[in-house]
Amino acid sequence: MSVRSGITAEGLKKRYGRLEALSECTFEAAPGSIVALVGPNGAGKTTALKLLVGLLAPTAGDAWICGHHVQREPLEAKRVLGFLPDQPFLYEALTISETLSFIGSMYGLDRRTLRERGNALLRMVDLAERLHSRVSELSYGMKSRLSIVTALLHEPRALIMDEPFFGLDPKTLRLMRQVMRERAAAGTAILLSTHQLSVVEDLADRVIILSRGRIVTVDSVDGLRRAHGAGSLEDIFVRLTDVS
Amino acid sequence: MRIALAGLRMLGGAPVKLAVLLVMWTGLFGGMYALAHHGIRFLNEQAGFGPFLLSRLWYLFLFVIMLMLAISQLASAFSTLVRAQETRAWMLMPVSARDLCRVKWMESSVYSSWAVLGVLLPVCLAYLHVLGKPAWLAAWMVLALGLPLLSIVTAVSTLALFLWLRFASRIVVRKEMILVWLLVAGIGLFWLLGEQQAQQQEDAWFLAMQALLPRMRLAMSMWLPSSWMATALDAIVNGREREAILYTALLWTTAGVVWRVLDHVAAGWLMPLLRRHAEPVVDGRDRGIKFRKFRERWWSQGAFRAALAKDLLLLARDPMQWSQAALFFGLLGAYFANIHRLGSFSGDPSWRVGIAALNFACTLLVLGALAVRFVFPQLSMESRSLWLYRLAPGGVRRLVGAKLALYGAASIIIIEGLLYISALRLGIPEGIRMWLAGVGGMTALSIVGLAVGMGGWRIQPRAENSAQVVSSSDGAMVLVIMIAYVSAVVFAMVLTWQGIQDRLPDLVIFSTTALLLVSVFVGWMPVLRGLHTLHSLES
Repeated sequence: MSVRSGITAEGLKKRYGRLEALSECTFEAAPGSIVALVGPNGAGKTTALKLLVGLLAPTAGDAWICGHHVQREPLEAKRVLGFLPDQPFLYEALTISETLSFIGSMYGLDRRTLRERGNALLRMVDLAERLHSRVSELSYGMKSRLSIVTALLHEPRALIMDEPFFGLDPKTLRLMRQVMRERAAAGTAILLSTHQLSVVEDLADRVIILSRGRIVTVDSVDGLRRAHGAGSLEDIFVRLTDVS
Repeated sequence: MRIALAGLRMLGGAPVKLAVLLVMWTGLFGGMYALAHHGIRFLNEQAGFGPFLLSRLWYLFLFVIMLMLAISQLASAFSTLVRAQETRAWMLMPVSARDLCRVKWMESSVYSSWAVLGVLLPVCLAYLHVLGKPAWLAAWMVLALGLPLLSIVTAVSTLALFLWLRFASRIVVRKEMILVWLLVAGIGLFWLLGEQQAQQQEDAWFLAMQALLPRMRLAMSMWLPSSWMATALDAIVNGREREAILYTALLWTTAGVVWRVLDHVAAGWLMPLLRRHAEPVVDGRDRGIKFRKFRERWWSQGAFRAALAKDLLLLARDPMQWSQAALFFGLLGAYFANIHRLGSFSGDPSWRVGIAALNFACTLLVLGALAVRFVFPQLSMESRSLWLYRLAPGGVRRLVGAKLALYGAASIIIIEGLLYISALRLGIPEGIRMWLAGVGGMTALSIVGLAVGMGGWRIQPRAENSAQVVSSSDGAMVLVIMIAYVSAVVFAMVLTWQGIQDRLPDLVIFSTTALLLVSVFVGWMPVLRGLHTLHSLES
């Protein structure tokens, strides 16, 4: 790991008392690539993501975002990082316009940049006509799309997403994939955690399979098929994570 | 600021809620002013020691305010800064620890201080009016003296919270135990005052003063910012302007220093503390065993019993509900049990019945407030599982019935118990006592019916927490209806007593019957409407 220009985890470990949630995980999402983190429930995916975004402190190991150490340079790392949690936090009382103004202010965007980027992103996710609607009036899918906008507003160089496809209709799902491809093509490093293996097959350049806090394997989808036999990613996943 | 403005905008769009808030605040402010004016004038008119005692009482008053604010800020800062989901969201953004601490400290200070300012302003106005000073001085007292005092206390409290989380976070004090201790302390205080009164045959307020005065030295310590404010206050009303300005400057300077200390501590400690607190609590205990044994018991079989058992479990596992109820009703019980010893009692039955009516009204108001806060939002919180009840035969009726049974039974037991203690201590005539017992049970059921029924009739399926439901226009409306109903009950009680005094049985029958009809309407109509709504709700 010499460059650390994307999303980098080096020996990341997290222990809660006697429970080892994550055991010395080392992986990277290079700029311009989409890396999927998959694993059974309780494998440690969300823990790994929280360590990378600085919500948790690691027991051991380091996390880097575009060359900035997450613990030692938190503000610099967060400036270039966009995070989409599994349950996005939005202020129900604010309108979409006010939400974007608030987020833009937090990231130091000037008014003109905010307006241009905000309008472009809202058009992309088909929310431009709801600019003055309150967040409380939006459906679940609309809130998910708004969350994407808030994560991309400051044009992050690294994007981490926790279960971004959960509960989305096919149109929004397609939109999400399109956004991710475009961002990756523009050089953003993307790390996402998901259970939707069909989407991973279509989208991810590399797949990290996590089980019981340990990395089982890291490879491209084609590489996994070559190494573990032909079949769907789901078959390979079940085979590799089956502990019975 | 944006979020606060958005909140105010939403309030403006809810005229009922706004009206209720304005009325309540006006009443509170006016009541505080009248009470303070009466007390301050009484003391000021005592020849010799009155004005001296009055100026010294400010030290004690502000000392108590300072203590209350410190405790309030501890809880407010913990929930606003440490536990709030918003804090997690801000931790993901390039927001420095200092900025996060400043914003959250200001927010938590507003939550913990608004009531203090609400108490301070009418008391200041009353004080100035009694002394014949201009009213604008109250604004100076609150802004120039009160604000820095609040800032110092809230900042020091927040620092204390950081110290606790840093060094003593393993010591977990359960919230409900704090309320139990408060209750025990309150009961102990009432009992002590009662015992002292019995021994010395003096009024409770005099005994309290005798005990407090020697201990005022602590409250008058010049190390305390509350003492600086009290000294500045005394200086300004007695024409010592220079001294007042000096103490004002001292308050503001100290506030500035404490803010900077908080800033620096936050810069170093806040993020690691928040990360530590974000870690999930890993508890390996198997909680299922107790529930399985619980379910095996005979009375948990059957749909109604299952719904009742479920509500009992939820109540037992929600310390907020039963601990607050225990605190308020416990303090009321302690007060009623000692009421005959706390003051001069008139032998006139009308006076005693009047006190009993006030006690009854107070108990009903507490019950009503708790019902609105905890019972009213329950059906909204269960709306996501409503489909389950609607699929089960008679499921919705059992859901509502279980809540009525549980909270109705608990309310009747509490109300009847408190009324009995009050009537016994006051020596209320037997006839009135029986009337109170009957009316008490009926009104308890009506209040519970109102809360449960309105909870179903005005269900809010999209609400994410009970506070959202209670703070809505519907919550305000239910509270208004509750207060109006309690007023009607008290009015009926007064009419009944009048009828008994004047030997007018028709008046007694009329007032009782009218109350019965109103109670049935208030209690059961919402239940019927609620059932109808729950059955026809399109989820």
